[in-house]
Amino acid sequence: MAQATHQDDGHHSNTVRLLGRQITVEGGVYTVVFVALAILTVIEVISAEGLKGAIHDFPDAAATLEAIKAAILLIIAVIKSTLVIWFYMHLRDEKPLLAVVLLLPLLIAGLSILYLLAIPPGGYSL
Amino acid sequence: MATIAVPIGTQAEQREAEAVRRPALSEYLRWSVDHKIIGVQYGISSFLFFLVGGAMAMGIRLELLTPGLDLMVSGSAYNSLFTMHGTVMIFLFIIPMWAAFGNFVVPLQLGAKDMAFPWLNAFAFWLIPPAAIIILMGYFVTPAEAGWTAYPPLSTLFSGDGQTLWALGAHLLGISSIMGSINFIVTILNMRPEGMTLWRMPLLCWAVLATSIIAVMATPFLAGALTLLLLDRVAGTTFFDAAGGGDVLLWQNIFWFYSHPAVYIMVLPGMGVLSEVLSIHSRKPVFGYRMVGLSSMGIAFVGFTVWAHHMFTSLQPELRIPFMITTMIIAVPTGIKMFSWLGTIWGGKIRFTSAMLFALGFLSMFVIGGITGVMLAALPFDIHVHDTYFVVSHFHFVLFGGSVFAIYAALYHWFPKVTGRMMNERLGRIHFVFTYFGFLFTFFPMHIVGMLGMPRRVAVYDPAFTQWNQLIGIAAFVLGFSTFIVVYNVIHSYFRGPVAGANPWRALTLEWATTSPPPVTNFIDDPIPYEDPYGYGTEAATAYLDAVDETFRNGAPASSR
Amino acid sequence: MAQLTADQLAASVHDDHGHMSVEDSNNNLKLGVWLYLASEVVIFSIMIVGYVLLRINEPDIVAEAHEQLGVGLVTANTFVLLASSFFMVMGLRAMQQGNRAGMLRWIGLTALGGIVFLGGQYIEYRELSHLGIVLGYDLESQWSTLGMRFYAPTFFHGAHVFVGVLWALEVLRRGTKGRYDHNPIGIEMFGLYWHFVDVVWIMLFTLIYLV
Repeated sequence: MAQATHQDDGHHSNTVRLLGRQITVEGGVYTVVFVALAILTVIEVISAEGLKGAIHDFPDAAATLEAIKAAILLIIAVIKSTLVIWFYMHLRDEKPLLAVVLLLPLLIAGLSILYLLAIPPGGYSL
Repeated sequence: MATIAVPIGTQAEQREAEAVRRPALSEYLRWSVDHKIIGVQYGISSFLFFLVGGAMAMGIRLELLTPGLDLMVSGSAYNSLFTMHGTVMIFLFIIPMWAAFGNFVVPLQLGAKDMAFPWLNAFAFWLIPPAAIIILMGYFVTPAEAGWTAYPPLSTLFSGDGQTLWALGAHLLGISSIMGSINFIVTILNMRPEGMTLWRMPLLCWAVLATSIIAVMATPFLAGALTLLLLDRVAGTTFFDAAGGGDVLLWQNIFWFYSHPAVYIMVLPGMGVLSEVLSIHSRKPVFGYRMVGLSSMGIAFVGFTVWAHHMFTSLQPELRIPFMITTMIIAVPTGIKMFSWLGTIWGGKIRFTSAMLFALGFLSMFVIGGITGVMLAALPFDIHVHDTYFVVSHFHFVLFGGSVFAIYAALYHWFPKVTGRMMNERLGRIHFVFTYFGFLFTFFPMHIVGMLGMPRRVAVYDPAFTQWNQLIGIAAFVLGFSTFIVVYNVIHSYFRGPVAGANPWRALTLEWATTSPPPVTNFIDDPIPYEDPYGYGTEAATAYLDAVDETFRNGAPASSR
Repeated sequence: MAQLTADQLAASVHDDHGHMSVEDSNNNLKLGVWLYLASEVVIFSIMIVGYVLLRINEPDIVAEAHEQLGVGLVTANTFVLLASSFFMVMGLRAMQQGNRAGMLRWIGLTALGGIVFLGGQYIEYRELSHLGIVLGYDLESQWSTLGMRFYAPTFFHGAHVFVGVLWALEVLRRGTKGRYDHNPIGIEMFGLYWHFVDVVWIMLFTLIYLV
């Protein structure tokens, strides 16, 4: 969404192009990302609270709403994490190797977690 | 013919100045950031733990000579004995022992002056002594009794404070292992010399890279599980206690997320050693170099998908078949390596050095361990021999017949580089014969008693198995005795062995293109790797080796003594 | 074969003790930190999975706890940590621009953010323990399955924040001596760690307090 106008100047420029417009702000892309993180957090909290109310109001659709709520919140959280990793941890400037270093444990941990989540609540029954 | 680039500066005075000096023995007792010193520190300390763990194994066999309790006062005492045996052998011997060879050899093979993070390297090593003290101390309070796998509730509700110390020590060792592995990965990926692409890297480096990737990704599982276990033991939580809303199987799952990949941490470097030793001592290029390198990576990744085969009897029934399949799949990259080794020695000019003998010993024993592994992967068979001596036999074939034989091969192979002296070959052969047959008669009969139904982890067994166990016991004592031959050989050769010279095996990898032992800085100039680390049998390779010999003719330790 | 001059020889000997170019060394350090963070990913996922299992299997307990605790304090705390992450990256940026004073100011704010976050976590833990949500198992308490699964990941994260604060203070100490004037890699390494801790919190906040 936000892109530094000049590659070499990525860390320093106060000007970023955002949605086709030039924006000049102290801190450049970092500030834009921070504002985005803040807005996303607010959206997250509001939608969580709002959906909690909706779940309370419509007990019939509770399961569906719970799933929707979880999906929305997780997607936002992943976007936020990606923003931090991509811009603040400078993954965008780094060699692809570092992305592999990050994705590999995520993949392995993700696989194992998915497996663990599949364990039925009361344990296995034969 | 192309010009031969000799990897090291050529002036005589320069060699004199940097002359080969063996580090004083006291340097090994101090903090040092030199990877060669650290490698030896790892090696000697883990070998001491090998002796400790071996003594415990002797105790186990002594107890099992008769069907009743005689050496042990109770079953609990026996439990703690085999618990410590497994823990010491796995966490304090095999894993750090590979760090020893990795540390000493990998930077040299890469032509680097040291590891990427020398200080971290030393720190990782110095975590081991306190961890070992903590774990061994536990044996003298109320010892851990839950086996090296520490399944709850045995490890939470039925074990004493020794189990807490065990978990703390294992935690420290895990941290040490992660730090060491990070160091290896960075060194191997970032510090290769110019001209050495990943595909021209010696296979030991491939193996250490794959091992380190596993260690960095898998060891944290253990760290997490141990943290929860410690909380259960000291903070009153009930993560693993079903009575308190916990999940007993959670431990088994997380533990094997770590420990199955850890099996490959224990054997992959050995496979790397084997590729080196077999190729060098039969003067032939490694057969299928790329596939061997890739199969290390393949094992590393498939290794993460097979853990639940350790839990066939506690696993959700629907999941047994998928894990049976993945477990059989992981035999494929291992098979690739097996055939590569056979292809490597096939038609080669085999020299039966001690290193080569142990490598061949690995080939013959590991193939049995591999096959019994596939047998155990087969669910119907596994249910039959679950928790019997068949399983004990299987993993000792992999860990002793595999890892320990490879460790011995590596010892005989790189000892000249480490100390500048050759090992005694006659003693080496005697050592091999005792070890090989001692091992075979210790562990092969275990297959049979296992299939006959003798359970593992028991001090008291059906008298029908007495004769089998006496055979195993006597063979085990022979095996135990054989260790002293190599101890004597190492000490004797260190002081009295013939001077080795830079390249006694006429090997092409870079660690042999410097003096033995290498100077503090490893190489005086930036070394130039030969185009193919295993390109034996060509004129160019012979010329290169002659040039190395010529360069170091006067640089041998003889001049500095 | 190269004939070395005395100067070259001296240079090579001088260069011996593992000194590599600054760029190579920086790359090594960065890869090392990323690998360390990779292992942290796995540890945190083990810590979190227990909680997620509880959330799936016993949603009522979690909903009740959410009801009691509210979301105000933790949201404020989240903002503090996000801001501190922003201060961190601004500190690195300042040093890269050669502005040491600016760097010290930003990193100081980073450390302050970490401390405030820990304070917030302390207040929250106190509230929770008043509610009866404690770490150890208690047969009488309706929360007994929640406590350990909540405290383990959040405390583990808090411990990382604490270490991060200490690291920030160390960066400040070295920074005042001009350690980073020519090579800010030390700040960048700390930054990677601090942002990672922030990312973990982003996930924890969503998974534990909102979902």
